[in-house]
Amino acid sequence: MDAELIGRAQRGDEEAFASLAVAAGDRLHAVAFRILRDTDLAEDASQQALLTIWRDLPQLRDPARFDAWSYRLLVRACYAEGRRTRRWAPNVRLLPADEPAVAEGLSSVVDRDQLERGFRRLSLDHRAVVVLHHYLDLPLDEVAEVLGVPVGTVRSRLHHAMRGLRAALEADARPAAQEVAQ
Amino acid sequence: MSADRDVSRIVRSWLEEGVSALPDRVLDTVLDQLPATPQRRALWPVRRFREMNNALKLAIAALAVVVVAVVGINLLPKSGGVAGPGPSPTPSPTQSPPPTQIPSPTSASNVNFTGTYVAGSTYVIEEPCPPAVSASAYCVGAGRMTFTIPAAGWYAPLEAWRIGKDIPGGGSDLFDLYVTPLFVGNIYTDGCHWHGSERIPAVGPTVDDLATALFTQAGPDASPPTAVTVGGHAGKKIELSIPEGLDMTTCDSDSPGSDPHFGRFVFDRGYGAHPYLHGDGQHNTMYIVDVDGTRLVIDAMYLPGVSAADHAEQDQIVASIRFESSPASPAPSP
Repeated sequence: MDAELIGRAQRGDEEAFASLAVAAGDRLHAVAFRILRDTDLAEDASQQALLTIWRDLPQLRDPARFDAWSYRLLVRACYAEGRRTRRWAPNVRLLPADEPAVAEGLSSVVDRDQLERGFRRLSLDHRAVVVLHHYLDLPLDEVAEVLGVPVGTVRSRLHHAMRGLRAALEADARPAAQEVAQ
Repeated sequence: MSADRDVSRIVRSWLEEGVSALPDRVLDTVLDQLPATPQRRALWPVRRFREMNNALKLAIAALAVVVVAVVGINLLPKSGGVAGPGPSPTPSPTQSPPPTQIPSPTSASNVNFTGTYVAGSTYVIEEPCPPAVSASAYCVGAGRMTFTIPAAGWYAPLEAWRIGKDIPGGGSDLFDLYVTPLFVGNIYTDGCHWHGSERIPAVGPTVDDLATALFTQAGPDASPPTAVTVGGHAGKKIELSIPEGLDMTTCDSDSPGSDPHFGRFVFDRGYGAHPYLHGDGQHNTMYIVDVDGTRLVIDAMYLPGVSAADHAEQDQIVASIRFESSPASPAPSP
């Protein structure tokens, strides 16, 4: 992110912040959606995160860390949305209509459903680790920095989450496959 | 192992699917709200304490009295006498240095670290102070400051040079205690009505100048400055506090729409002068020391309700502070 733009926004330049928000908005929203698995909640979290970024931007001590800092505020906003709504129960698919029919490495719609269900059973702490590491490709020490927890905790959460997702993929795999075959 | 990689690959592929574009209406809403959303330049997060109802405040105040009484009794000298102004021991010229030798930091990752500190490890802050005398900033002078973390739970945010701890259910969303190094070039003369009250001329350059100025600052409660030693450097300690329940509604605020608050230090990190904020019931122990010609302030803050154990950890961090020349810079000439 442009350090000069961040510096101007830190000094209260709304136009500079608008440029920042345009540049970062899609990325933040994508992460929020993947953690929350709900478009409306993700929009609320993204909106709250962007306003918090504006409000607290003068306190960011190193503009080079803007991305990590903004992810931290976004994850907090996701936690807040999660606590506020508690809408985690429905096991419905929320994939948009224009998504690719089959993504590379994802064998079938059955896998997607199982992943969706498995992911929704994870806590927000575990979801955040999975998304930051496997979607944003952040190394574990950076995930720890974003979340403000020790690396060991991140490793543990990731292990637990991946074990849950693996179990979700394996659970009912045979009957589901037979069902598709039929 | 291979199965784990397969699951990771499938999960990564699945995460690539789904929405990613932030709708324009959301962005427009955010930008529309900017004028009504003042930026926060505080050292200090929004507190939940103010949102408590009076009954809860009274209950907490009563509990605090009991805790302080118990802690105070425990801290009374066994030979009799009067306890100090604060509920905890602080470094002083008559106290021995920490019993354990602080290991030299060997890991580069411990320099200007952000994240969760590891108990028992030593960390380094390297941050030059601004040359101007009219400003305040987080910094440690020309050299470096080392400190050791005594227990788990302390962390360093991305936002500022704080060694902080958040107590679950405590008064703050981010920090209920912290230790932070500051350079203070000037202060406001009135802690409540601080707008336009910067000292002119600015507070003098010595440790005593700042200690005396803080003691005489209108508004907050302040203890008389006492002698102290931090990291082998002599200085002054002063206890600053805001009485709980004090009506601050008439105090100045950082910007239109933000909460009224106390302002002590003129604060500047390149975006204008701002106050050092104090909240309801906040207590700050300020250690003012001269480190090779730079007057530094080590600010140890805690909110009402922190435990004696947490407070002791904070004292241990202050006691562990050492100042040394930066490896990249030559030692100061005698």
